[in-house]
Amino acid sequence: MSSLVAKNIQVYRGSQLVLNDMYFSIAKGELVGLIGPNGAGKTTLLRALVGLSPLQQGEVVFDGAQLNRIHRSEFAKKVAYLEQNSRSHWPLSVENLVMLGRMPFLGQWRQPSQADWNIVREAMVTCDVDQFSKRTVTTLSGGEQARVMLARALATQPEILLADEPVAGLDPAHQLTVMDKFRELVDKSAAAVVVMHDLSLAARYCDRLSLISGGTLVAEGTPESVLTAQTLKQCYNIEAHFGKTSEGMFVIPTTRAP
Amino acid sequence: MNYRLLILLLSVLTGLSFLLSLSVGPAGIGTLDALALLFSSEPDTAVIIVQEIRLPRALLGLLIGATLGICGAAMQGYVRNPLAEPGLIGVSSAAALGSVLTIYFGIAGLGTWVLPFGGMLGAGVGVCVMMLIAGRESSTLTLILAGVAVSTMAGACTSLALNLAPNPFASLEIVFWLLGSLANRSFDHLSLAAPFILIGIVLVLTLGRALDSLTLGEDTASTLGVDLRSVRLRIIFGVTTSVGAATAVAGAIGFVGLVVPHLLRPFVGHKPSLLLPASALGGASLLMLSDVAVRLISVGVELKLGVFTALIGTPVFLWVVFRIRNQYL
Repeated sequence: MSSLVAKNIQVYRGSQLVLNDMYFSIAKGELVGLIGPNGAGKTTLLRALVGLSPLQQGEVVFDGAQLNRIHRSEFAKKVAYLEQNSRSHWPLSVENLVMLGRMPFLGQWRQPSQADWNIVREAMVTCDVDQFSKRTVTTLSGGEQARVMLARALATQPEILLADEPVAGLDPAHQLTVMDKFRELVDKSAAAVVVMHDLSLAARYCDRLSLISGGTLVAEGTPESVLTAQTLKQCYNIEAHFGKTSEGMFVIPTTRAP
Repeated sequence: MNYRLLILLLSVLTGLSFLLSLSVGPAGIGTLDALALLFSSEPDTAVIIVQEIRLPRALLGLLIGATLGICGAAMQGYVRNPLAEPGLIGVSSAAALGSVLTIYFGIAGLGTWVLPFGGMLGAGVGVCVMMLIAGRESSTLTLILAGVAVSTMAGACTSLALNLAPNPFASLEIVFWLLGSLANRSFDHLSLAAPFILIGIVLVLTLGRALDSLTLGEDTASTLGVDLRSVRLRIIFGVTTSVGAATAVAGAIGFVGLVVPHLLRPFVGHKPSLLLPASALGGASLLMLSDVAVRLISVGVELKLGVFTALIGTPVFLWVVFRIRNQYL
């Protein structure tokens, strides 16, 4: 069973303490929303989970093995990371860019097989970018590029997908499409961690929310237990309306707390 | 364009450029004669001209052009910047300084190998200094800055050598050498440089997939399984051995490594991995054809190859800049 656990990690950026004594875990079948104000340490936590941020203390464990003892190429086949504001430095075609998601399986020399192309096409259809598969990615709008980048991450067919603000910049229809895809991925025996700022969307789709602020975990659990007047005031300094529909709970921030 | 067709066309162009390089010269030996003389064992002047003068010159043009093209494509892919060129990490300037010092100290005449050996030594020392400045865990940016520091330092020392040259002949020799040329290069030069150039080209060729992943930045490439430290070492050593050796035997030949990847990039769908072999063939063709051109152009004195590539490279480069400007607007 795939699981990724950050055990009491401490991360510095320069001399600044960004994460302190942070415990976070994700296991197969879970869609976890990582929420918190700007500068809380959400991105740093995701980066630490994939080995991009060096740890001062603690450890990250994947499937029972310490992350630094796992070969990067093997880890890359199972865990995909979607950076915040990911962009292509060269004007590659959309399909060639999505094929980069198959890189962990292709290695240095193997050419993509028909099966690889089928997976790439499926990922493009899922993210609704197949209609411009031959276009160069730099000619697309920001939202379209964000969907192409998600298709790239999905093309790895990861067991765990870590996505940093994947719906930022997307229109409401595509926000729902993308979140539906995360749900579908998780229901197909994978796991996903999604950094989000839309609390209603997070509450509606995620099994569990982790609210972090100032580099520490403030609350963790079901959306109803995490999104309370007290936690929102404490972390975001806001007051909000809470409601519930058949689709789940929603949160409307109203005023900044006095 | 289909990639295989592109490689086929570039291979044919490279082959034709090589034949042309064997066929052009003041001795007036044509293509068919040159080919026949290539395999002749008769003690004839024409045989010596083709086998001892034109053949090593053509082979050096092939290898040096290929290495400048492929290393230019690799550096641009690595730093994800279309303005990068093979000398970005300081290797060309350091190699040039090494060779210039052999002229300055008057030891270049001790043997044909001394000057190119000085160049290769310079490239080696230059890259060691660059790595010391950049540090072990250097990012691409610190690598570029360290390369610029080494280039500037080597350039200043070369100027100092010119400034303090013991006599005007030494100054002239240094300046002419710095302009870059394939004239009067022998099999001694070829046998000294070829192994290093080939090792460098092979090392750079192993970088294709990693360079593709780097299209999405270093962090994403790392999460796609790319070992960034290994990539950094392979590109540094690949470029140093091959471009260092190339500069050591031919002087500083600019613009080939900058312009060729640009011209070919649209034909390979901008994929860095596909650009490597294409740029090697394109660079080889361009350098051999330029070397043929400097033999044909008569301006009273020998036109240096580096001057010619810069002259034809500048307008092409300007065109590339304008095209990129429109593309990224």
